[in-house]
Amino acid sequence: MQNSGIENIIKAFPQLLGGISVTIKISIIALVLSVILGFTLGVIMTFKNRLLQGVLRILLEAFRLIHPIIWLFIFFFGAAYVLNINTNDVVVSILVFTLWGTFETADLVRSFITSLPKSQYESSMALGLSRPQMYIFVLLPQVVARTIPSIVNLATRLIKTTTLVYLIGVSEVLKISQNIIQLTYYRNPNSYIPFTMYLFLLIIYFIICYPLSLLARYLEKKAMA
Amino acid sequence: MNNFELVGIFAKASLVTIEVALLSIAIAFIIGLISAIFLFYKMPVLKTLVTVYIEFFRNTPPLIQAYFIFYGLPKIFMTLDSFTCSVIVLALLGGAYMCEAVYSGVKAISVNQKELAMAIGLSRLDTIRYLILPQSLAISIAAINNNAIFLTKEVSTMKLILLPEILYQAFSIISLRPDLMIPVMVLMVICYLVILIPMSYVFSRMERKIRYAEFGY
Repeated sequence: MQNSGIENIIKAFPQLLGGISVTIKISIIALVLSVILGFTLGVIMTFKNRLLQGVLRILLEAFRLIHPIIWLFIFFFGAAYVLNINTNDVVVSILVFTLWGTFETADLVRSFITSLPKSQYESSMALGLSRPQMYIFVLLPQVVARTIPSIVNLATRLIKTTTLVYLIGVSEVLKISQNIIQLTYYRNPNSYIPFTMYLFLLIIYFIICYPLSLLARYLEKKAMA
Repeated sequence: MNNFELVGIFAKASLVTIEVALLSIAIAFIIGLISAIFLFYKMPVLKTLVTVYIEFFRNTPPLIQAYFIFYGLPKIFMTLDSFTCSVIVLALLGGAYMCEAVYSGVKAISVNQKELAMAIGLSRLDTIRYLILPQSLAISIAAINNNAIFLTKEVSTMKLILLPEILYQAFSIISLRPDLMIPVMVLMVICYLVILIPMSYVFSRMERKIRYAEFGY
């Protein structure tokens, strides 16, 4: 067991925790922003303006069909080249994941609003509610309750997908663990550290994501009942 | 390097992406089907194993799964090349999602039907083939197609274990020739759209066809 590298993982545990907190920080900021923006955009998508709907539809499909890893690449390297600026890796990752989450949430909100019976719209008109009042007091409260399971699900997906920010050099947990692996290898070439380290990361992610997906499943069941 | 060569490189890379995607979708579908049947018949040990497998692969990032198999396993087990490794990772990942999709269809079959099949003396294999599969696939085809598209998109993550697919080529060209940034980015996006748009079109046609053939619901 002396080659397993567990002692190195234990020694480097604070750094690894720091790396995980970077991942979580990016996901939480992106999640909060994308819920706020997603609800706004979802409401906008229900407006009957052909041009607006067309543009938003294309953007939505673009973010759906193309993987976030490609967007990270385009935003990080492409923006730096075209606009001739220094792109900050953390800012770019928050931006990309916010856009991704925003479109996911917006489509959910849009589909829930359009699935509500038309009579609700007509009765709010008859009651003399203005359009903003109708959205705030009648439509959105129902939508909020129904989207919560999907938002929890989105949180899990965000945490899992955020590992990709490794690609543009954010010093998150994967990058830190690679440094540790290299150092350990340098000292002891017989070490099993890659195996133990990646297994450790898998377990860490599982511990973070599994409760969230259980919560999502529970909320979904409750929403169905 | 002229534009013509650039297109050639990307065409080859797209073929790699398509190859890995098709292989892993096919294997994932088989894994999903088998594990859904294990769940349906509530096979004692296998059921627990399948549940653990699904939860594990659904709740960990694909990138780290790939790293674990590509860099972690050689030390204790065997070395895999990036192509095999990508197919294995995506097939296992997809299998977990496919199982959920197929199982949602299988669950919709009433227990009555299972008992009826037993009463008329169908073997378990025949029950699966003539009773369970046709009905459950009609229900779960939309989810299966979504998973297939998800897997195809996920191939680009395998860039990080050195699979020479589209993103990998884009990276390596740009690192040598930064001045080709814009054509490379445009070509890369076009490649993905050329693969994914026809795919989602064919799938939505297929869904309509199968839904049409479905009866009794």
